Amino acid sequence: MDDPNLIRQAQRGDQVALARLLQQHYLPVKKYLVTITFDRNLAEDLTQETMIRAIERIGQFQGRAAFSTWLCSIATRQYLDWLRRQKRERRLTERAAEEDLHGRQEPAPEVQSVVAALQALPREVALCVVLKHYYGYTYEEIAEWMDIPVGTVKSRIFNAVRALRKGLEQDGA
Amino acid sequence: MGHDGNQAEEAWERALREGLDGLAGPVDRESPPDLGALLLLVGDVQRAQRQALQRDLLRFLAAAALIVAAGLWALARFPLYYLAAQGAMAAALAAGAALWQADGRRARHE
Repeated sequence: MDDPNLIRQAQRGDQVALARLLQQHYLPVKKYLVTITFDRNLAEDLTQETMIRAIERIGQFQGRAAFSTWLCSIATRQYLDWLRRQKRERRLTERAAEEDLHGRQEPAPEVQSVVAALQALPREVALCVVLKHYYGYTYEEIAEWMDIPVGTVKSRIFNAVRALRKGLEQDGA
Repeated sequence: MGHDGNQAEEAWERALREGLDGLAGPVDRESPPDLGALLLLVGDVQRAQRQALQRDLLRFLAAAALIVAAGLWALARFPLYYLAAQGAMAAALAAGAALWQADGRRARHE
């Protein structure tokens, strides 16, 4: 069955249609989250939270963008909320301050150099780069999802890409 | 220089794509949750949502009933004060609206 039919039925209150719709999009959303968080466990948790938000807001989906894009925007916001919570918690605990000093978690062994370099960037900056250069979203879409000015998105991406490319060239040299 | 720049850009984008594809690739080999589990989730979330809505509605009705009861009580016990308070509130609202409109006009002219 096509998405539009399932979506219509789900919006009319058909629980089976909604469950089927979520099942179809579960792995693509998880994959999307893995690429923006670089963390499979976190991606799994955020996928479940995204599904819950989608169930709560299915009535608000207006079809202006594809259903998958709508889900990705929810997933991105869940991730940004998670980042904000992390920052708050870090401010409150000494252990977190120590983590800040020691930097981020070690990249997984299979993660290649560009991804490892992305992982070393502040997460909001890495998110902008992935959304623009991997998924091809426009600056305006990224700004809307992240609730920041378009100029901030552009400068974040410009500076990050310059730094990443420099790193790659040095690795290659 | 421009050509080198384009090549570097392409190489960088390719490396990014390959890196992220490699990271997310294992997800393709996973299975999504079964329909029964998702149906349970849908049922639970929608039930919780209905309960939250009913709770909010009850709170709103209780607050509205309290305000109306207080108004009726004040009207019965102290009608003059009540009417004076109503008049003062209406005047404050009208003044607020006038100020807001004037602000809007000034902003449009600037």
